[in-house]
Amino acid sequence: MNEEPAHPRHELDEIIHSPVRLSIVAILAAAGETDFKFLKDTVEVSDSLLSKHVSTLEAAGYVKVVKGYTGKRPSTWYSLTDLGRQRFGQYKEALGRILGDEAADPPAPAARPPGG
Amino acid sequence: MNTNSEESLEPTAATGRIERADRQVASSRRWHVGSMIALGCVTLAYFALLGGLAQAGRTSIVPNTILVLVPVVVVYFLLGIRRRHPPAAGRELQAVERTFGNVYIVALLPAGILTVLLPHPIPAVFMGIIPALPCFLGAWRAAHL
Repeated sequence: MNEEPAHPRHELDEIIHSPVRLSIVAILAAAGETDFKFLKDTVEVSDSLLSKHVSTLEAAGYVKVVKGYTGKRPSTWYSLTDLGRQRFGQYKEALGRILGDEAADPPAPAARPPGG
Repeated sequence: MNTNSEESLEPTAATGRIERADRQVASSRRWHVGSMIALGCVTLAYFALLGGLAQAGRTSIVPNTILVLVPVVVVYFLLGIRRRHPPAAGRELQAVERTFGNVYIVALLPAGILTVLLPHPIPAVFMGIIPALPCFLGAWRAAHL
């Protein structure tokens, strides 16, 4: 029995494949180590929602959280771990494959209504 | 502000989010690079102006010395604003900005002393290169992070 090759959508990391978490990971991949405020302002979410998603990414081992001080002000810094960077790379590759497949096999045009 | 965290995400929307994040970070980086280049150019122009004023006999050594310190006051003022408003960039970029900012302030002292001793626009422009150089180097470093 021949097995159909798995569709690339199955390769999309479920942890990253959420709007907020994807934005967080993409920003960390581009900016390096980033503070809470920049992340919050750029992702445009509330403090609590950002914390929730960062916790999910941290629990998965994708994000490293460092608490410290900038001058006398307490700061929290976020960065991607090696695993997070690797998974994000794989995620982008899978996205590229999906979009490549869609471009190669465009959806069939909708049936013309009768009499149209 | 987004409160719906678990909405479905199409591949094109996901790609759009990644591109948007890249654009936002690049825009923030450009702002840092641009501000460092602007500070370097303004410093060169300021030193040329100082040399010109001194040559024209508009200022003597004491006011000239005070004028040389104006950029230090301006930079401390800008850094003060910066501390109250957390920077919109990565930690590495902030570290580059802070390091080259400190080098700039230190470099202003010999440049200022030499400008006071050689009151002429052309040497003053060359003296201006001393503090302007860390700004341009900082901009180059920030652009290549």
